Amino acid sequence: MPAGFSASDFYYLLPAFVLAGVAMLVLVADVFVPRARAAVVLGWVSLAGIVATLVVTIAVLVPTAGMPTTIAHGMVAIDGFSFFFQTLFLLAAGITILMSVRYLQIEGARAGTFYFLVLCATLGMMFMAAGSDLVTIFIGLETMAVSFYVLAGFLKPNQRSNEAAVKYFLLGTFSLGLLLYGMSILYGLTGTTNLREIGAILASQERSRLVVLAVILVAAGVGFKIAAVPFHMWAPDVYEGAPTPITAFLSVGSKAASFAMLLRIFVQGMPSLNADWRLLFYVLSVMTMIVGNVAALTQSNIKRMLAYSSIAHAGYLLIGVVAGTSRGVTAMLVYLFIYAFMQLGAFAVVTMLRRQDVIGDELKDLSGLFTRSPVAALSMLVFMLSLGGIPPTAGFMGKFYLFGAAIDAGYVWLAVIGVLNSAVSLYYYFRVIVFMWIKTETIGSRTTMNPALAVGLTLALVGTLFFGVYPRALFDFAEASARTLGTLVVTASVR
Amino acid sequence: MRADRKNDKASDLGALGALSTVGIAFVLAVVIGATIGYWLDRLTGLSPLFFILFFFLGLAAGIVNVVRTAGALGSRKKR
Repeated sequence: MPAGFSASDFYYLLPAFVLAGVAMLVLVADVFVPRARAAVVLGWVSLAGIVATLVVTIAVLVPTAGMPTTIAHGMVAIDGFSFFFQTLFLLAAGITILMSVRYLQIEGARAGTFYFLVLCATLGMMFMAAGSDLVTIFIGLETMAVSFYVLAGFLKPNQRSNEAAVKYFLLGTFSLGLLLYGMSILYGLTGTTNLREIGAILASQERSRLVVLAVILVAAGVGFKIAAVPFHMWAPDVYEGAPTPITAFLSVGSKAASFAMLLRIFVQGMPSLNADWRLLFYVLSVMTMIVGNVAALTQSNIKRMLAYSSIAHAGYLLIGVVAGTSRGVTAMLVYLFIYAFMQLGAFAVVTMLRRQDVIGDELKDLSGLFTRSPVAALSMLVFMLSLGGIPPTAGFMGKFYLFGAAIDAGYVWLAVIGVLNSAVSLYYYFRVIVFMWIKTETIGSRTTMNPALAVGLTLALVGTLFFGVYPRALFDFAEASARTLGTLVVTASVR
Repeated sequence: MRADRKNDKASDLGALGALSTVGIAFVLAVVIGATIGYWLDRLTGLSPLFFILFFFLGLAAGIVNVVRTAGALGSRKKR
């Protein structure tokens, strides 16, 4: 039995306490700060909180590198995997907050509650990635999900926002129910909720019908959160209706956290059943890639297009799960990190399009952007190229590594399908570029660059370009993190 | 004004009614799908292929139903 709840547990949980403390501070400060200045002031306060949490996370977790442990009766894992994802979530939250400052001012929404919920969602995500117990993961998942339900419907007078929130809430709750049912079956079969113990007990048991049912249910629950086909139907509507910075955070943070959850539950918790769930994810991956890319081809709303593109990217990421090797998991982590930057960057540009007279969601709103704001047009060019996987952007490196890992594990056809889908996706990414650079007519008033948004955009741009040219640091970081997760014994199966 | 408020209440109750069916509809869709799949498995012995397939089909059908109901609700509230 792992060590009891001691003083050292509080020390390792310090990042979570700091983040929770800042969140509550923001909520209280909202009462005192004048309404007009709230978005800016509270935004910088939240940002300072995020930076503080990041510093504390590095200070607390880096010294433990190489000695993965669990705390609090084995419920929270302190390892490279948690560290990697916590860094990712904090960066994503930081860029989201930078994006939201001006957006909140234009929409006239309550800033304090907004930032509070973003920080709460981040807190939930941190526990989804760091949980080594089914219960911890579920609590983190609930925290994040409920925060997002409210955030998706934050623009109360906006009908689409309300609709998005209702859909997300209903479907989210149902799939959470499925996930919980699967988890309860696992508990019933093994008598424990600790992931490693579940893995050990299942390895010694026979493969029964009930276990297969549990795998299916958990896969369905997780599949909903990552918006894999056929559980993706909520994504385009919710992405379109939610406020743009929230769509960005949802597509990056929620997705990364759900993939972390997937890896934890399946690789740590059910390694002996990997023949089953790898086949399942193979099918899901292929369907997701194809449906996501094909559906994106006909979208005229940028947010919907990015939603389907995000679905397709979940398909690419699932390739890493199917590969199952250490290299596959590493490739997934690398790609999630890179994906965060390029997706947040693309949404930052879309957020910038929102001004007093223009909603800025349609492709035609992008037209002539290079005349108005060459910086934004150039950044969007980089992000679109990266999402499509063109060198020398980070997106290319990520896809290269991911497909390489698949081939390495023997899944050649999967890699081929991935490459073909990437080629197809170039059409809709280039369509965006055409609207920005080739078309010259412009719509509505001028776009203005707000300093916070500029900082966020720069961060995303730097990330996308830097890792394309020098990915080595990220690879090493991801590899060390993936190793702490523990890997499967891959039996040679040629596909 | 009075008539307006009454109208609001009626449409709210209508919304509540529609939403309450969604829960049971989703569960039933999944259960029916799973049952059909299980039955087909027994018939053909290709377990658990059909079970998985029809489970997911039932799930997808349930999701579509929820999305449609929520969508109809959203556009109704606007009126």
